Amino acid sequence: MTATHLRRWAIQAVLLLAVGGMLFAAFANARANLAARGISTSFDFLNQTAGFGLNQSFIPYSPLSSYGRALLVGLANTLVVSLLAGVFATIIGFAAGFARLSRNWALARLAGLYVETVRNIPLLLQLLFWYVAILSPLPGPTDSLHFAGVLLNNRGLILPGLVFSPGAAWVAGAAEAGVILAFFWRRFARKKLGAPVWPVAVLLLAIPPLIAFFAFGRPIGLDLPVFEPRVNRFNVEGGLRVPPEIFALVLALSLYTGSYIAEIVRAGVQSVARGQSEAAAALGLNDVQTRKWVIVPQAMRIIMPPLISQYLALTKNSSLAAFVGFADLMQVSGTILNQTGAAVQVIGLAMAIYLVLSVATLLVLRLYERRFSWSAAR
Amino acid sequence: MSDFLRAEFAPPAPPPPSPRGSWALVRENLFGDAKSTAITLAVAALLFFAGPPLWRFLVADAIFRAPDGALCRAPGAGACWAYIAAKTPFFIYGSYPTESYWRVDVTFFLAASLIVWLLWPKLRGKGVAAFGFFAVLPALGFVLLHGAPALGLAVVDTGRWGGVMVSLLAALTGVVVALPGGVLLALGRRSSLPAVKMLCVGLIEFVRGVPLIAVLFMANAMLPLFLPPDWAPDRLLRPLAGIALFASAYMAEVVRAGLLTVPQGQVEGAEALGLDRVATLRLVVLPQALAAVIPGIVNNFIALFKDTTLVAIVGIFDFLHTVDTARLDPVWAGPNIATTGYVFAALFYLAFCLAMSFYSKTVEKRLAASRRHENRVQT
Repeated sequence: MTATHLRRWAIQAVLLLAVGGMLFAAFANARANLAARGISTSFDFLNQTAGFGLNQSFIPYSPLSSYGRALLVGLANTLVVSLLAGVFATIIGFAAGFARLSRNWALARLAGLYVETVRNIPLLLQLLFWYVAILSPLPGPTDSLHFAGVLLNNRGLILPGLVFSPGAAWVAGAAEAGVILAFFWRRFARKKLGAPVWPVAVLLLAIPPLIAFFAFGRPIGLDLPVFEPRVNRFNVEGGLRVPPEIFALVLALSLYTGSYIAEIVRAGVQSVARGQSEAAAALGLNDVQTRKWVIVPQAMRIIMPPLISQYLALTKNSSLAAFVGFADLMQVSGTILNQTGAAVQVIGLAMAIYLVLSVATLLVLRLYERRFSWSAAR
Repeated sequence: MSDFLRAEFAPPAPPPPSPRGSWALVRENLFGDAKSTAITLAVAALLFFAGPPLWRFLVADAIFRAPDGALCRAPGAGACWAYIAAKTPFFIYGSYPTESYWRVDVTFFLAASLIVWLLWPKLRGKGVAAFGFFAVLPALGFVLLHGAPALGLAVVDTGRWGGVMVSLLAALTGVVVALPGGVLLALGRRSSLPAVKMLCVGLIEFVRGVPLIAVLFMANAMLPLFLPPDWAPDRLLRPLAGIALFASAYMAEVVRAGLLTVPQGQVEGAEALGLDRVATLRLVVLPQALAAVIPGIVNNFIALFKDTTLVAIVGIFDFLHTVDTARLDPVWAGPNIATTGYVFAALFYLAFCLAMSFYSKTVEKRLAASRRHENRVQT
């Protein structure tokens, strides 16, 4: 064992001892402090009755449910909001990114204005703006703003809902059959016939569910929201209500993340060599075909890694829900923390869940990325 | 031979007829084809319908002078700039005592001068500036802002701090801690000692994997638990510690990118000259690595400045929180007060962040130019 080896071991041992000592002191302090305040250090509280209501839950919950159940509701809410905002942010981001590269000045400048403004204003400010300044002062249900069956008032955004009667499963089954048929038609037509794919595929997708729809007596109906003073004088009946908290949160998150995605998309597209689009034009591809078959597949490899980190940032940013009182994971954790005082367990649990979400998102997108680069390389 | 060759040059051909000129350029870029024309008309329609109401709200119908909110509450009134004017001291200093405003002014003037000194390429003596920024400024800032009875400066409780002052303080604390902290973490991440590497990777990835709000909650609720009972950290100090930890983890990744740009030959060259490991790092690697990522550091600072708004979650009155609280003041409360406040706050953050990103882009261009120059010299 040389002197260098010895020194390396010594440095590591000292460092580990120092960190271990600090952790030990911290835990000893925590134990003493918690004992002095009479706070338990176990996770038993998860089974106790929560006693508080939550304004939104996608799984059954009541104030009589346990704290653990409340955390689950918060997690579900975080996931739903992140997914919704992720989809919208991707659409907005790709649209704005391509718009910024448009040959049309007006469109490029407009997209540039959006990106530069929204990126440079704190997300919290945007969230408060939408929630406090725009959605809260909206008129009540009596004077809802309405547009094409969608109502907007101070209770939220009310979309037309779907009503399912017993035969609905058959329609869904028929639609699925249509998808499978269209898929096989695509493979068959392209390989064997060189026949047009889309016209037939659209027919295959549309006709089976339509036949089932009428054969089973229209089992799926549209539930249009209406304000009917004779039934309910104070609220809108029917429809699918999106509470203002979720609406503001999804709006702010998707606009904010969208502006970052727009920059990522722009950088990715610009990284594709100019000769590629010129060669595509020389081969007779039009703008849409060039974008779809030449630019995007190559740009996607550059776009994917920063896009993944944007989705992760979005999931973490959804914790701003606490500022508008939406019961996401962080807000529920905060409430439980205030009620039980079990700071270490509650915050530790919330952080662990966020870490797991981050790692899971990374894994899923890595898998997708691998598949995508495989199909692009073909 | 002379039969096949021309004796004189062919006359120059006239340039191809191209309708260059500003009008042609406009036509090409706005009305190139049917689709482009439709897009231009749609954008024009958007501006036509959105522009006038915005102008009326922000300027034409806005109230610039008023003693209280009565004028702003009148129907048809626009933005209430009088309210912003009346609340400006609160937005900047929070509830800091009026007679001590100069202490805040001096601290931030000093900080701004040191930052300009550090960032302006032509100014010399960066070492002195760095010492001032990372060592003198924190101590002096603490004495000035918090007060020191021994020096005749009355103590101002942190509960009275607020506004822009706290936002800047949080961002500055983040940078002052995060730059050295980030450098240490990034170096630790590249260390060949497994224990050092694992600790640094663990810390960086943990902090980057959780939301800032969770870190702030942790700092606020868990820091007092982990410290001896009689230490009781100040309520402003706790979120600042959280921000410093958060910023360090993100800064470490920026610095790591910088370390990757330094070629191995630089280290070998330094070793050949007989420099030891610390001197190699200090004199050869770090100056090049940090210079290469100045844009990244500034962008990180912009993100940090926007993120400081989240300290409101643990009850700290940063700029946005003061704006969001002031709208509830019954003297001014009215239908347009919230919007006015948010627009003002947005303009403030926009101005600040755009100025910094302009700087970062300038540096980026200069770095790209110097890299091109180096490449030319090498080849």
